[in-house]
Amino acid sequence: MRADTEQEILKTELWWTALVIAIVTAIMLAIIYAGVVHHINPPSNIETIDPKTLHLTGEFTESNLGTRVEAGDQVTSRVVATQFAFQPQCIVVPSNRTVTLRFATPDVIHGILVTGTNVNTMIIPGYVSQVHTVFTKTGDLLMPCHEFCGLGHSQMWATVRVVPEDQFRPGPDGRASCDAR
Amino acid sequence: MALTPHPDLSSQVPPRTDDAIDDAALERVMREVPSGALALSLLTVGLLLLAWFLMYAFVFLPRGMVG
Amino acid sequence: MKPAELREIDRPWRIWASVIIVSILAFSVVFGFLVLPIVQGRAAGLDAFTAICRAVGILPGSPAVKQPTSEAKAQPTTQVAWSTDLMRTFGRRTQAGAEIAQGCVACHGEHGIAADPQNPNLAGQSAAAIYKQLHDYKSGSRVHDVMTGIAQGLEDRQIVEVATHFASSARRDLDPTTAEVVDEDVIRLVERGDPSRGLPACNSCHGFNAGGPIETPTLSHQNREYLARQLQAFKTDARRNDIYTRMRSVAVKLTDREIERLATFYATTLSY
Ligand code: HEC
Ligand code: HEC
Ligand SMILES: [Cu+2]
Repeated sequence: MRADTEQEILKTELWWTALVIAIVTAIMLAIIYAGVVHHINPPSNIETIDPKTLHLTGEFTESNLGTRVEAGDQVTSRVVATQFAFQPQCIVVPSNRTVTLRFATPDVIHGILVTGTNVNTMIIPGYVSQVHTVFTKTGDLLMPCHEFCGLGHSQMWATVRVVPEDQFRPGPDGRASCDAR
Repeated sequence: MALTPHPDLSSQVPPRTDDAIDDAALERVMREVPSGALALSLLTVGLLLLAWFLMYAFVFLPRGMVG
Repeated sequence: MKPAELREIDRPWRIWASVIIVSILAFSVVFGFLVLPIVQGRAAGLDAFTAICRAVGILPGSPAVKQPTSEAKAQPTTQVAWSTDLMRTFGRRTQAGAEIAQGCVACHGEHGIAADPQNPNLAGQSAAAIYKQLHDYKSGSRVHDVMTGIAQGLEDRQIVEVATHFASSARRDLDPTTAEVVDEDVIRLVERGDPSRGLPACNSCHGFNAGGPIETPTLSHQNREYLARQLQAFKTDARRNDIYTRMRSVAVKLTDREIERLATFYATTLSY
């Protein structure tokens, strides 16, 4: 290849530009495909909650945490991340079904991921973090806290127990817990 | 002991104008595009893209929907 | 070439580059905030407007899934909620606090140091911890034959005063003949926890200035029998006023033997 003239240099640059545009377009198309066909979204949820009274009011009180099948057969699991444990420390969910995970914290910033899945979110005081997902593999998945939250951070983890759909048997009140199985 | 300059250093003294490479010679050298560099950049960009797509198709999508 | 000529050559490039950037931006906004939410929302049974609002971030929830609802009723483990106003009231000790404390000497000792090791020392305990426990006795979140009645006789303001009073009293001196018994396993639990059981180190919350929950009580200089009894109570769910099972989830993983040794450790060790 030669670069005898301005035109020749320009031509090389244009080729490279075209290549980069093609790459970016291909990646964007893949992302659009995921959005349209698989309904994938960045898990963002603008929903505020008072961290000071989290343990006193409604949804995130101790007795309401864990997995529950609610109106319209929606499976929702509520978890509180607090220094230095998750409450509850084990949640049970069915596979191949949309599950909603809702998290809140009364103290500092935590974060979670569920190993082997795309579930990954920060848990920020003052907000409810929410991820909808479909678990495809069954078994006990590890859910560690991935944001340093204090001296006990490294011992802060919970278990997500994914069971086959026919083995997911919530009680008459719609609740399902790890102990019950 | 007195320090004597390293022999190589003398060659790094800025060239005097009268023995500088003339512009025409420089142009001649620059005309040949190093095709090895081009191949290397294509290869690295290609590998990066390949890695992205492999992760996307065989890790991200099978792991199921989030949103 | 002169600069003016160069600028002339550059012009169409600049224009085209701007057009391309603006159209990519416009496409992203239309696609991401309008088309995608409408397509996703339809599958989830959402109307277009709700789906768009969710995608933009005006409404909570995802455009692709129905938002769960909760009609849960609160069944709090405690009525205490920490606010900066409340924290600020734990100020200096007052005469009123000293007078209320006179009603406690029979069991908690002259200066907050109990003679009977079954009763807790209050001297040097954090004001927030004393406040929370008295408040919990009063509201019924923590139950004890004697303390429930005593706490119900105190007004909120008096609870603050007596808590501040004991918090500023000098702690019990440790007996030098029993102090510093070295128990490696227990020191590991206290300082490092046990990752295989998901047990956080006791001192990540109970250590001096550890930065854990506000209401965490000080354990060192406390009575051995009292500490062991409380750990057993947490373990067996007899005491359940800890917010979000912070202590129950820890105690349930401890063996009876570990409870005994931990109680001895905190009651006899100077360093924490
Ligand atoms: C008749 C004896 C008695 C009297 C009087 C008494 N207490 Fe107590 N107190 C106890 C006992 C016993 C416990 C341990 C209760 C338990 O095991 O739950 C206790 C527990 C407490 C606790 C919880 C300590 C902790 O570390 O969790 C606080 C705080 C407390 N008392 C404050 C007071 C105050 C303030 C007064 C005076 C207004 C008072 N008590 C009067 C016997 C007494
Ligand atoms: C996640 C933080 C945390 C960790 C870790 C923790 N504790 Fe606690 N502990 C607390 C809190 C908070 C309380 C007060 C509970 C309440 O609100 O009534 C408490 C209370 C106690 C009490 C009762 C004290 C009293 O005065 O009534 C004992 C005893 C105790 N903890 C022992 C331990 C031991 C031993 C360990 C280690 C095995 C430990 N704790 C680990 C947070 C923690
Ligand atoms: Cu954490």
